[in-house]
Amino acid sequence: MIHIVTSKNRHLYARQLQEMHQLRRLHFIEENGWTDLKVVDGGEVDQFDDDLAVYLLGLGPDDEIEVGLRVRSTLDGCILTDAFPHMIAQGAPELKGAEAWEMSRIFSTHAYRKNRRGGRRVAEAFLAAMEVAFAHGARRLVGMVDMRLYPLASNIAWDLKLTGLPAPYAFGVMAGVYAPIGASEIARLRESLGGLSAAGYEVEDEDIALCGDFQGIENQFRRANAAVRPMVEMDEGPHAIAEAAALYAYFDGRRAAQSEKTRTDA
Amino acid sequence: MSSIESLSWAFLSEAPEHRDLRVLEAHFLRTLEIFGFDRYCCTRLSGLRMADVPTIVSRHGFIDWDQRYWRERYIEQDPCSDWISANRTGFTWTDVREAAPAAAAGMWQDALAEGLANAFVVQMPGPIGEKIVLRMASPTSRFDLAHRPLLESVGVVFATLAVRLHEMAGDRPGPGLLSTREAECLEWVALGKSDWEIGAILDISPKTVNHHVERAKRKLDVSTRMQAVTAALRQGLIRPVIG
Repeated sequence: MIHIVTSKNRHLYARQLQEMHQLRRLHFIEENGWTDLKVVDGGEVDQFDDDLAVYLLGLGPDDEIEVGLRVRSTLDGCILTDAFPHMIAQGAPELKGAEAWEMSRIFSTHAYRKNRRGGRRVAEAFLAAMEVAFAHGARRLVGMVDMRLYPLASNIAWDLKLTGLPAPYAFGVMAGVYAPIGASEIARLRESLGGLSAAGYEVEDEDIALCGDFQGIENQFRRANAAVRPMVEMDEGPHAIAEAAALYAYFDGRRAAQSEKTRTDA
Repeated sequence: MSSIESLSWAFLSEAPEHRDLRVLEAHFLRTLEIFGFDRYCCTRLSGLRMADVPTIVSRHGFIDWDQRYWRERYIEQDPCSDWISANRTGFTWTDVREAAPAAAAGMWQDALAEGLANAFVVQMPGPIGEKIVLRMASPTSRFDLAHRPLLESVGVVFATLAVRLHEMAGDRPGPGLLSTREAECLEWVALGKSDWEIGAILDISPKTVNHHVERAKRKLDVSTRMQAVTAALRQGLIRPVIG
């Protein structure tokens, strides 16, 4: 589950939002060299961290942030089109306006990456971004990607396209990107994640009252998804992979036996 | 836009539409030539040790040098290995030689004898946790530093797409409507596995899994994975594994 943090439920996420801004400082300023960004109280903050910003957070077992990103309408501003117009080629679709929402400040933590769980959680966050933007009438997500991470970003079941020529920025090479959003795009990404009915959830005060805490809400969310597809194993840990490997060995055995039988019959 | 920029943009914007690895390779080679490079080798390092022999994803004109490299066991002294292990990317052989002038002198001489005066090396995370390394080589040692970001981007996009098309090229026609990979992927979908899980099991990228499943859906003329599994089971194209 990806937590959708809006201006309505930010009071529930005071600790996580503080942590998010600190992680943004660590990731973007200290590690990636984006030194033109502003730091307030130890956290990175910009002009788009306002009431319209929607934060999408993937939390770990202790409610610590594993992945985070910001998604926001571009009606009154867009980092890509306003600050990096040289990264937009002629013929690119409308990247700012009612139909475009922008993803920015996308990161995953070292602790999360160390678990070698690939990009699944990040893909869930992108799916949640699609869901939120689509619900607000957007038809495309725009953003910027460090070219070193392009292979991971394009490994997700969406149709990611460059907006123009990449250009050097700080320690890396950055490029503008966009992906169309629609019911079929969302359905495809949900299916690729194992048949999720949704990735994002906007927690309300009543949820906390009913479930106790974020972990309780996530458990309910997991059960709701499992109810949609009863055979699904949600666990992505070593146990699930080992179980899958055992089943795969079973397939191999069956195939080998079948080939042997075919050969004997012939 | 300069001609290098416009040809690079042509590659970056058109390459994702290529469905055939050979078409992609030819387009990439044409683009490389404008930077003064005439051969390349894209490898997948799935082992944890640099000394593990990599899987060749795509190459042009690197065969002789690669054979010599492994025959002479240059991996044991190649300073580029340290740069790759340290996750440095977008570096040239000139950078490496300048940092360690005395290292592997024999290797550099042999490379020159093979017509490899300089190379630009790009590395990136692979789809299933491995490393993808792309070496682009030039017969001359000159390389315009201003073009590094562009060449790096062209290299990253090529390697990303080449890995995927290389994985798909390993697919074979099945006994029925579905290819072997399409059937395999659907069997795992039937067990509720995500593209990430199926990719880990079959040792292919999640996007390749997605491609196989989407193609199976089109062949079966259905719009969801559940419908695809049901249709494939009914037609005997996949086998139920539980029950």
